[in-house]
Amino acid sequence: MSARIAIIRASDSFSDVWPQLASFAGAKLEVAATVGEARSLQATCGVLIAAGGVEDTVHEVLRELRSARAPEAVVVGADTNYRLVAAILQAGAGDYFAMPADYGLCRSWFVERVERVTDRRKAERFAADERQRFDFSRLIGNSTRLQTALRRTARVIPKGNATVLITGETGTGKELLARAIHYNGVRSSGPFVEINCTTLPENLLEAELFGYEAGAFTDARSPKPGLFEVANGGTLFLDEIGELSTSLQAKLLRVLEERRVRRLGSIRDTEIDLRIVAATHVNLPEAVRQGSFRQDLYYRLNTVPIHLPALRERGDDVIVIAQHFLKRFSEEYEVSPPLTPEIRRALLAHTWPGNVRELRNAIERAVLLGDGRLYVEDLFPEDAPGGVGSGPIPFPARMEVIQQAAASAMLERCRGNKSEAAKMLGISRKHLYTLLAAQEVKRD
Amino acid sequence: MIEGLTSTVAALQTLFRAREYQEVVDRLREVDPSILMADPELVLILAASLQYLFLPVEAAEILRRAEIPIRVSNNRSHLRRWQNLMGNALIEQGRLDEAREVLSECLASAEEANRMRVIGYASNGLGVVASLRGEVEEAVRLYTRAIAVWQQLGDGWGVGSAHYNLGLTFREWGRLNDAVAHFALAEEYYSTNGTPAERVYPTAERAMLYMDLGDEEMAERLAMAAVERSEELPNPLIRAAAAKVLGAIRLRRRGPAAARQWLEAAAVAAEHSANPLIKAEVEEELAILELHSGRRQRAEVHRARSCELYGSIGANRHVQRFEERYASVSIS
Repeated sequence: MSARIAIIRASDSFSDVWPQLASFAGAKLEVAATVGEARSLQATCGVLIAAGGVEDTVHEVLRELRSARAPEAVVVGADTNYRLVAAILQAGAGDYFAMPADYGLCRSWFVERVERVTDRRKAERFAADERQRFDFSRLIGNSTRLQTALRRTARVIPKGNATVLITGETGTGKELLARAIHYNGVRSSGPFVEINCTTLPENLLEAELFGYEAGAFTDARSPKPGLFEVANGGTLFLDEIGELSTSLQAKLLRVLEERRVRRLGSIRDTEIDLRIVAATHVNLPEAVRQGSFRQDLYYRLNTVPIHLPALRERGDDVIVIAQHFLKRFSEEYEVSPPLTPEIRRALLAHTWPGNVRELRNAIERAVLLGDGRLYVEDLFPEDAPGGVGSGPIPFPARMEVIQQAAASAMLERCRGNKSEAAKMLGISRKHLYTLLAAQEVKRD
Repeated sequence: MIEGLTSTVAALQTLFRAREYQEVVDRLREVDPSILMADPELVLILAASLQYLFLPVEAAEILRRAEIPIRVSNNRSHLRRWQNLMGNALIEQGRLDEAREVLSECLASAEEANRMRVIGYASNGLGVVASLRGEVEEAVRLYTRAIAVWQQLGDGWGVGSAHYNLGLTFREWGRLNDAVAHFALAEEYYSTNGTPAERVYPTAERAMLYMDLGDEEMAERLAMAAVERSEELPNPLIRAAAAKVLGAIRLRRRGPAAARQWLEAAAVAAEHSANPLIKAEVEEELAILELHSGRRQRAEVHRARSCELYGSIGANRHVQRFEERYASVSIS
């Protein structure tokens, strides 16, 4: 549906120009004789009152439009008497264009109005695409640890204001989860704004987050809203929150507590209504203990903690995810290699220090380097970390540590079925319980 | 008079939207300059078309002549478009200080009027200036801001290109894993919102990253995939970029004989593209190729050309980086 501009014609002056201007802007023109008619046309981008020669008669039309809560109208006339123009603007016109001198301005008005409507529609379509792109189905896996994280996320989504803290190693999908929370939640029509706290030095990050007024510092020539304001109505994703400086931590805490921000150099606060999602690979309780992260901020952020498990803790998920990437890259590079048992064994044996991101790269690599087949030696570059003995189990390690890790991994692979896990490991159920309990104690 | 002009402008606008830039330029070059200057819309359409045809000097000249009429016309919309076009033309010519001045003015005006699209373009342009100056943090800040704008506008192509620019910036910064992630996102957004040509760039850049990360085998295969995709496309700039990457990787991996064919193909395509940056990059690789081949005189010719081309667009940091690279290869 094309953008529509309604013209209420009080006079016939310049009547041939309107269709050309509308077509220039890519809009459809609807001509009405009265306000009622204009309203029934449901103009999507604005109302224009053509008043060449009868400018003094438009006040009534403007009053009617205002009481009908119609979109802001502009008046086009020929009179340049400033008193008359002032009266028209006072009566509620958004602008007044005196033809022919203001012809260019009028054309720009057409273009900008149409652009706003088309941008709004595009934004709606884009949000729908993003919802699909960042659907929860993108977070693939059946392991109990992932499913626990996803169940918790599903509970958070309806609570549009709840602050979420996502933790997990690099490459586990924290950003993907943050987007899924936004695009599948109640704030999906608002903006999703992302900032990585490690990319900017402290002063630049502060100005970027909080914005500034003109003159706040040497280069602040004009006022600028910060990302808290830009994300208003939507979600602000603070990636790598664990790297935030202590002074910015204090300022962020104030925002979380008061839901207000103050631009640098300003004396006024602005209320904000947004969800904050923070993510980190840093062990924040440990950082609190060491004094590098504020305890009060940690508690405030930790309202809804979601931990994304490392790939090595997710058992057979590695195969499910590998199949997903294999399908994707097979289409992209026009091949269709099967996931052979040999490849499956290699994928399961690897410890994936780079997590899902590393798995994606491994599958793409094997697809590209293979001649329509997948070879184990193509999965990883020669000196890649993550092979046997280089993973989460420190190597060399004591036998009991290795046994405990094996018990945990097998339980994941057997989807929590302890009898099956014990059978696969060739140990008794009692022994399996002992190993798992020892690991729990260690974790606590 | 108004009607005649309006229909002319509307017809040109239609051609412009259809990306018939050469046709727009041909028609407007025949128009009397005084008539052209009387309507800022004509000037802006012409300048934008010239930029798409990689003719930044002519674009800047026309924009310069139109500056006073546009400024006194009190049409802020025209002025912002003029500033954006002028900023880009100045970047292409390497006049980075002037570009930053005019784009900053544009950004401030767009923010005041809440003109999101202009904010996106101006942030992107200022990001390019910062990136060429080696101000990586500022570039990251601007591209991050641009992503927020394009997302709000629902412009998937804009999001993709900002991720692509972030990938380039992180690569320059040495944060290679961040660069890989942004190029992957660029590929993803371009796959649904970009042209086939645009998908080739992040693939080629990823190939170079794998080379930097030490995975030569993967780098060469990815570069080959980029070349294969680019060969189906009519755009010489993309063909040059993909062939240059494959040549550079082969040079490092297999030596001059395996690289020459691709770098010479890149040079031919770059010449057709008329883009000074890609020409400079190809000349750089040719200089290194000739050094490795023991042909110092030829290497010097390419070195001089490359530095001149980088200099012509104000990419002084690139000149410095290349000189260091050239010196280290010369010594070894």
